Amino acid sequence: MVKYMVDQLRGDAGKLQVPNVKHALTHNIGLGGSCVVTVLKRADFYKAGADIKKRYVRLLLLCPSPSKSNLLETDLYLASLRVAFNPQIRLQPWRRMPTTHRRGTSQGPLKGFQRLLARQALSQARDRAATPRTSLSAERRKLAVERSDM
Amino acid sequence: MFPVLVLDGDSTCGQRALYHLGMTGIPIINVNNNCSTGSSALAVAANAVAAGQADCALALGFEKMAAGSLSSAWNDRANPMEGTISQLFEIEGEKEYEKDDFGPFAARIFGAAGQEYCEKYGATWDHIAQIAAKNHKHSAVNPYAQFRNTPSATEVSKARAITREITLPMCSPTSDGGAAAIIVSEAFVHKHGLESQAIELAGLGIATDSPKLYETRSRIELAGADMSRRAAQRAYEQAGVGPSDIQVIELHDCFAPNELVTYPALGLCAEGEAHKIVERGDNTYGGKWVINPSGGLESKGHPLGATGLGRFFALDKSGVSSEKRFLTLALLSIPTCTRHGQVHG
Repeated sequence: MVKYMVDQLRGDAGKLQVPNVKHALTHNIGLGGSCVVTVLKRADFYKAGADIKKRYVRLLLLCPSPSKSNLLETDLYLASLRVAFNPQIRLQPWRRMPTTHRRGTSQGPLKGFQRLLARQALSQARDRAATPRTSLSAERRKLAVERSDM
Repeated sequence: MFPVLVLDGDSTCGQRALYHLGMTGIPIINVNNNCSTGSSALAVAANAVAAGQADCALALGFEKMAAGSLSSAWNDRANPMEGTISQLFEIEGEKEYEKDDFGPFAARIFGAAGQEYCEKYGATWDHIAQIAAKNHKHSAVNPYAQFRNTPSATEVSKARAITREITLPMCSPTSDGGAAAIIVSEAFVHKHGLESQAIELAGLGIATDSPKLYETRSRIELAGADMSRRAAQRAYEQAGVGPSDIQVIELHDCFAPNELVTYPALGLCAEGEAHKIVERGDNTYGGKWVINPSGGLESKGHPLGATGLGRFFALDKSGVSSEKRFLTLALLSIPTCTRHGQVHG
């Protein structure tokens, strides 16, 4: 909910965009019970019309936008790259849980099995980026309809 | 950094989700608040930033749902919903309907609220079918929605019955997903040059049930209408705006009748006039508000723990592992605040 409303306020909502949004509201209720309502608006210091590409370079992972679905695929790919080559992120963390967290120290290049896993992650990310999104979602929708018996 | 974690799952599963990103020692709090889990985490994170405990906090929500309708995880202890369910049965027992209600309890609670609204104020189930059709229509252009088909109001009415009144397209589906929001202070925004992204969390209201829940013997109240009223009032007060200042709304339409009964609770119309909003088309593009531009929970999916926060990717239930899941993030800032927790608006 919040993410959709944030997109609306930034003007990033693509085909879902509502014209002239000044304030947006989310309403989220849980029986039992708890209810949260938020009112969102552009901050007074908000700078509109920032270069979208620059934003992506700065915050690669943070803000994918629905109107730029091709960029989103790039994000997935780049995020996988980051994960694959970040020595601080262990690809099999539950086999060998790190006992200490050493901040800002490099543990050197990936070796052996980890390297193999990194390669696999990369090729999977490439495949994913190359697969057209529409066919995927059609399949998913079909599956979801079959399974849904609510 | 002070992340706050959320889920409808086992204790400390937030730690399980985040530890492999680094054993940072940063506090993690797990929240379990039914369908509003994600937003509740947002509230905790926002309060931590507002109180000056942290400059940057993460609210993360994720959910892996069991197939079929919601049910309790336990059968050997008190059910948190037992008060609501027993009163619902009591009220329904006094009414003389031709046909007994049936189906999953969550759908029945919201279905009963819709039914009472129709009886009291002259709305019809056609209005509710129109709401469902409107939401599904919005989802046609949302690439992240779980369902993007667009049934008409008639098709919605004639679809498979889930309870006595509710049909399949009026229900939110079983979904898995994750979403996150980063909440930062105003100083953090300037320090990191995020002015082109920061959206201000102008008002936030969080509420629980009032005595009206059981005292009024109203099925609309049993579905939490008074919580919505109170939370909305607090959010409007804090933001210094009213319903007419809002252009776009994401509303909790876990079942279509809940959208109808929530319109007056959010102050969009007087009590008993919600169906007139539907008739005027004030809930879609070209109307006064656009309500659920994403397609609502009925279309985009409803992974309980993540719903309040985000846009999520509907995931394949056939065993896609957690590593492949992808989060979407929203960046929110809250106004400058003092160490005393006073928020300047």
